[in-house]
Amino acid sequence: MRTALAAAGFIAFGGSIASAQVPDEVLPPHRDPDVLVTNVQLDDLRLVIDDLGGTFLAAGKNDAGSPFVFARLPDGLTLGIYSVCADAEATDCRGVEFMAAFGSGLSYQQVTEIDRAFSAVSIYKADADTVHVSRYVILDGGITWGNLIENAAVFDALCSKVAERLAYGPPKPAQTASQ
Amino acid sequence: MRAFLAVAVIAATMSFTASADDFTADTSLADNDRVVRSVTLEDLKAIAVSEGHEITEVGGQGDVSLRALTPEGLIFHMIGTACDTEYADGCLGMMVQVRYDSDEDVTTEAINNANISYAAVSTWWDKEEKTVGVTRYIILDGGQRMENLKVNLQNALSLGPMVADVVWPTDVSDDDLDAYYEWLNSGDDDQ
Repeated sequence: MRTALAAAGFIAFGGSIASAQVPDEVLPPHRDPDVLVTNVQLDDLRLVIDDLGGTFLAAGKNDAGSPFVFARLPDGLTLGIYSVCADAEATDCRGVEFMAAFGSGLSYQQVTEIDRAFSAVSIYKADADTVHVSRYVILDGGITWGNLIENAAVFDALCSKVAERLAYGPPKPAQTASQ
Repeated sequence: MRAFLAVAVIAATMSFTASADDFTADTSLADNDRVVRSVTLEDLKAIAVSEGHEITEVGGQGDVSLRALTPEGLIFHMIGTACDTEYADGCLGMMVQVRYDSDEDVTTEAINNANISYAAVSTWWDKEEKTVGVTRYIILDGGQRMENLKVNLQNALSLGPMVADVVWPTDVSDDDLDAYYEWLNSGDDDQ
């Protein structure tokens, strides 16, 4: 939003730009990929969305007080990013879970077969008509910010593949011409 | 009812024909402060040994892989993934796996319940190989401290038996679960 506003202002004053002092463009917050992260707060979760080019939808706290956000990514995936905190004050949050939900009536067997195909995420039936895709990142000891973003990007990419499998079911054995 | 892979035990015996040097490790590679963006077999060996585990096989699941035994007798695997790509030497991912023989008591619903119960690992069932597996998959792109990889290993090894208790329900008490979560959140390496 701030980038868009800055661009709009730039266009509006375009006629006199040669002599005007162009104000510094207001950039969204940025974090160096090499920064080590050992815990996250709400602002960090929102920064993950920004780094993915996503759209912030909502934020909240669960019953334990751990912050979470909902977002929509450029490819259309809507996901939740949940912190997992070790203290009641939710100041020591050393886990991050990416989760997306898909409507699907596939059986337990079909879903476990899909889960078997994707080692980096966990795929399970949350109820009769819903399948969850989840990836959990442990922050203890420290990971780089770039690694956290890469985890999110991999989750996004795998969700696309899982969604295809959920829509069409597990691949069937190839049939020969004689069959 | 549930048993660690008997095949693994046989293979462990056979692997003693290999050089004993295969199982040594330079534990300085596992220094907590070292930041890694990919791992080699030597890194996996260093992590396992520095955590007090005994390596019983190397290379069984690919060039960058090992099997090891915890002091409590739990067999686990560490497996490099996405290895030797154009992006990096070594492997850009690694898995920690605990495996169990499956039997007639395993159901897809139980596997599903395990995935609901423990988010940090993925529980899977290979019916053809008659194996139930618990995998913690770690993406290394971008980098993390070695201490983080050790904590990932600790979590996988703690969760393996707990997943097994979901797949093969036993009388795990709420106190046991509370003790695990207390340890998980304590940051204490001692289990």
